[in-house]
Amino acid sequence: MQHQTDAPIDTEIIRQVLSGDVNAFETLIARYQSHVFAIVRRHVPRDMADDMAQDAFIRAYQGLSGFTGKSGFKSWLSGIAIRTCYDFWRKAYRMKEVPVSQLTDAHREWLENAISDDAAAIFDKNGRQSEALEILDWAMGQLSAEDRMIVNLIYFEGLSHKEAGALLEWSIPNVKIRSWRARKKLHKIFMEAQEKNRGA
Amino acid sequence: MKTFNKPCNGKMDRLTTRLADAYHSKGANDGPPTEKWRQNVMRSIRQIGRPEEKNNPERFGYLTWRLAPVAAVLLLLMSIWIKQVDDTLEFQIAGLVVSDPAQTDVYHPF
Repeated sequence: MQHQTDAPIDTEIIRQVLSGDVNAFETLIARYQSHVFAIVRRHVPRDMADDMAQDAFIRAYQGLSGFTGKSGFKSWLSGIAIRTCYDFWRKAYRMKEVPVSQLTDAHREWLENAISDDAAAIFDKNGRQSEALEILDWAMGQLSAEDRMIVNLIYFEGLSHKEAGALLEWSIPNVKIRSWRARKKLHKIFMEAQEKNRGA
Repeated sequence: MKTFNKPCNGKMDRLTTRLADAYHSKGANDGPPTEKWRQNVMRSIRQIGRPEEKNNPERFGYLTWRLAPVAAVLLLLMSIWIKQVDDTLEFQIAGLVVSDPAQTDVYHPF
């Protein structure tokens, strides 16, 4: 991120906060709130984004003395935001608060078009985005919290195993195994849905 | 975006591309966070007070793992020491019993 030359750098602000100037943290919030919101809005339901972003900043504040500055404040904060979302899903699954939706005819039609060989010719990429989002939520609702995070980070955001591992604080072999298993599960979910479509 | 390779096929790649588009559209139409939201965060942070070392769970976890080998060695040494002390005590008690079969030194009913 480019800052104005007269703006204090992140490490200077962090030093101020740690030395007792709590209000200096607001500068960091203003600087990175859009970045944190962009992350949480992709990972948690829309109505939870404000709370998750708030949690992420509070966690960052509480852990500020542990910031070593190795990877920069932005990527350190990104990891905290991702782990906040992961914790949200872990809690939601534990409390069984993950909504289990059903596919409608419109969803099935979308799925059939998206999978079919000639989809490229007839599929309107910009149209029917709401169905796509609902199908995405439906499929993700059938994965575990771990698999959900891995699919989002590896397959939709295109991060490397190393990058995803760093964000989630998981080992690279763990990320590799989980991503392979999650991919298989997702494949199974969609193939079963397609078979049901054809059977119906 | 990564593709679904061997265990899957082209169908999954196409589907993943569509779903990735949907994923990236999430929150695209939502506005920036409000001033009220930022004030709420700052209010919560002021209530917490100054960030302390002890409030840092990451640091705690880091130190725990760093000190784990030391704790294991200490535990081993203490186990060996207790075993030796235990044997010594057993010998001392046995010595008392042998030197005083009536156990008058250690047993006073009245």
